[in-house]
Amino acid sequence: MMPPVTRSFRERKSFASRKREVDDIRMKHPNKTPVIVERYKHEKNLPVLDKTKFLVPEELTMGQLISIIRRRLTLRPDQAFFLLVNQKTVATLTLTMSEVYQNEKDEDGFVYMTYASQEMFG
Amino acid sequence: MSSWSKVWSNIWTDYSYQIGVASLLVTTLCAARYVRRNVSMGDLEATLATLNNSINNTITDYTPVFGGVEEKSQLLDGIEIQVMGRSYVLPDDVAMFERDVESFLWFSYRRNFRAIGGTTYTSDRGWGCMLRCIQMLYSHTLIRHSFSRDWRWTKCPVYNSILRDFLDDPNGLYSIQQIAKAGCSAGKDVGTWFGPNTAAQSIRILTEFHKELNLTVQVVMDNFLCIEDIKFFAKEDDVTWTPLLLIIPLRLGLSECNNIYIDNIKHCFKIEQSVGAVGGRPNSAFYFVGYQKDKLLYLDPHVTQESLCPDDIDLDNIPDDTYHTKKVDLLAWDQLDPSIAVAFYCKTEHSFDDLCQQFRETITAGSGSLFEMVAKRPAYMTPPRRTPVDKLLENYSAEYDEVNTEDAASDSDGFEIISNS
Repeated sequence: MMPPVTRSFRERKSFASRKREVDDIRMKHPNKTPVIVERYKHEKNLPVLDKTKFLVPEELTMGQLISIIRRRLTLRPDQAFFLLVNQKTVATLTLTMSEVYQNEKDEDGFVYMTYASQEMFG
Repeated sequence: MSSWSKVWSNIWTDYSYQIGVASLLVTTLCAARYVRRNVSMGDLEATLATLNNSINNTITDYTPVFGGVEEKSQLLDGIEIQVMGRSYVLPDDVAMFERDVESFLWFSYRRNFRAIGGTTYTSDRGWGCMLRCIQMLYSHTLIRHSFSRDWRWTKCPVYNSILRDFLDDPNGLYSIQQIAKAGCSAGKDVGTWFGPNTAAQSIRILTEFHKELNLTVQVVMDNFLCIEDIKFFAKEDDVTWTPLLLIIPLRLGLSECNNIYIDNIKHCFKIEQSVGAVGGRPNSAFYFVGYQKDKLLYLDPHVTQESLCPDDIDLDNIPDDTYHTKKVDLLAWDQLDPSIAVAFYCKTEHSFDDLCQQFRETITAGSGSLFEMVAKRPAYMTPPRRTPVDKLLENYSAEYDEVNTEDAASDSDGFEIISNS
């Protein structure tokens, strides 16, 4: 049975409401980066995170963020886990959130990240 | 003319009386492939294989693929071919090139082997292609470990003993049965499909049980190679280097490969220490050994052969003709599945240092960097520790509990706040 395909954050909310959300939360937490972390829609091995929206300290590195997500998903160290920024490139672990935000933020003000393991072959 | 129309016009010319049969089979295959994503394997795989064989017999000049007919790619004359640090130009180097290709051990689906312990599986057709690919990668590593890159296929006791460990024998060190069982510790039931990382982890575990081999297998996780950590594992007594197989699982995109990675993936096969890569086209695993232009060269495990029963053959002189092939196939970059693992073998510490230097200058440099490499581990990361062999087959998620960052969460407009204090 195929798991139900859930709509992504971007599909659920309009650009205007996403932008408003970022503006509001940046006012309240000016030193935190608004990040959307979602599971790749065809991912079958990794569990779904219970939250989608995160406020991440600017000085946190991508490596630390990955450690947190790995722990949250209770993955074993030998399980493949890849966090892709903007669906394109695998995150560089030594970059800080503020660096990632500067280079990769969407027009709505969020940074979008997608996680996946590896595909299987028969 | 598009490749499709070329294919069909050729079929029409050469096999016009069979076209009805061929198109019927192709349509069935398309439908079957669509279904295959949603159902478990079993009879369907067998049906597909039968259909596949009939197409194979019908259209000899074209390579059938699941989901359609694809023009068979040919190696081009006059354009450099790279195979793990060796370069060839056809037609002049054809003999040397073929000799190199046939010196790899070629593992493919087999049928009628002794059942995998606790199951009724006596064939790996339809599920074992990634396991066969890691067998090819690892057996080539063992050839490099015992001989060198320039060893060429010839019968000798050492080569014979390497091959023996890969026969379909439940007690063989690296048999299909053992690799499938090792996968169980990663939650992979026998008969389920493996990814490149699963295959790599299984080989890592099996190698730990083979101490006299004097080889260490390291799998680089999270696209993050820490030189200090690799050396920690390769130099157990801090002095003597244990020859190293370094496997780096990658994800080059989500549904398709990001083009910024193409040059660096190709570059992997130019490196002397390369022992190839395991990956494939969606659903089908291949053992990649090199490239020409924008196509990767691979050995294909999707040929079902009769298993050699270890009880019926002379183990000191294994009949090995079905374990070698001169046939190398090509896969265009745009058909490559983004999940892949590249691998390198370093016999000495000097060779590893040299490899790191090459990584620094090429495949980890610039925007198409395949992974990140650092000399020292960042402070927040848990120092590595050696897992006792008897604990290897258990889950050991405890290691991740030591991350210092406290991520206690509180809600703010539906956001989860991550703190680092």
